[in-house]
Amino acid sequence: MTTIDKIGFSLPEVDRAFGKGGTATHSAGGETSGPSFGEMVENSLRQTVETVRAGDRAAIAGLNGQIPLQEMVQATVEMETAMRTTVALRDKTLEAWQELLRMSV
Amino acid sequence: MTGIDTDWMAIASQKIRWSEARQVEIARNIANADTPGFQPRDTVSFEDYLNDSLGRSEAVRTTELNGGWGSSYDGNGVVLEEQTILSSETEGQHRMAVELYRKAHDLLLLAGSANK
Amino acid sequence: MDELSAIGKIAGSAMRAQSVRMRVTSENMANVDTTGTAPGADPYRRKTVDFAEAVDRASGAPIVTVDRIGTDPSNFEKRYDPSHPAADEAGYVKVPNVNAMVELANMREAMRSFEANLNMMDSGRRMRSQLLDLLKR
Repeated sequence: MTTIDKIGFSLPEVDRAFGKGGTATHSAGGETSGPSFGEMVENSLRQTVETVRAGDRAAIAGLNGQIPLQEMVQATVEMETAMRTTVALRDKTLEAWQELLRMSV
Repeated sequence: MTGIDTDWMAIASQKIRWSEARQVEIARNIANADTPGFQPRDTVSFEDYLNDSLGRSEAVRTTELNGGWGSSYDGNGVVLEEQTILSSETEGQHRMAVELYRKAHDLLLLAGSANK
Repeated sequence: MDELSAIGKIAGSAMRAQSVRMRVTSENMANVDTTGTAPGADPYRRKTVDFAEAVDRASGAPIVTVDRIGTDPSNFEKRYDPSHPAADEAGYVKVPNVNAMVELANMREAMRSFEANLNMMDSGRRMRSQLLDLLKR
């Protein structure tokens, strides 16, 4: 239910937009060393998926009286934070991608 | 992905129903603390209710309380302190379930929200 | 009727029943010394309250009612007081079968039960309010 899939964040699209693999247009400014923006986003998403899964598990365990309340609350709050961050990231990325599309000739 | 065991919004909903049914039994027990021959009742455990109902919205089964803290001379088996403690616990569980249900709903809205 | 409203009905009925119990207990306490007026006459006889389960006709909720207000059948004790108007030929007066200590304990228990039911009623109301809050926003 509360999975990253529902947010509709597709990694290949992100990669394409930010020039990792596929057909890329020219890069703005110079070449940057280290992980590409696409890679950073990918890592962030992986962490979020795990946080969300942990939140799901904690909610169920809390309802079944298997873990202390404090633990459950902490895990679900972290899950919500992670999801909000991801949604914000998705929105910004799509915004940037749309701008990019408008720019190409 | 949305199997019964991972869909905690549905489980929260079941917990709400179960804790309400339990609170009714507790209210009945407390009300009958001085009724001769009355034996206190309780709902089945939440785990049993989940297994019984399998996601459907069914009434919660109740059983007579076994053991407990003993009976009085007129056959009444209700112990007020025990029931009062139970009612606080149950209200707390109800509150947690309601908040989780709300949270699940919020997260669904969040996940489905369109970008600006 | 929904579960949470049933809690209010159940607790409310018990509060009414306990109130009757308190009233009867007060009456017993007030008459702890009420002897008869004619020679050999019976004094005040202790009253008792019996509770029973019932089904509320309107809601179907399992409520509590006062089944009946009865009397305590135990024998009257006698007190030697030959000048008393209710004294028999031997000079003994029958006294009420009311024990002030017992009535006091009864009163305390009734108050305790009343309070427990009041708390249940509040709990039911709070739970209902919590649930309805979900409908906000």
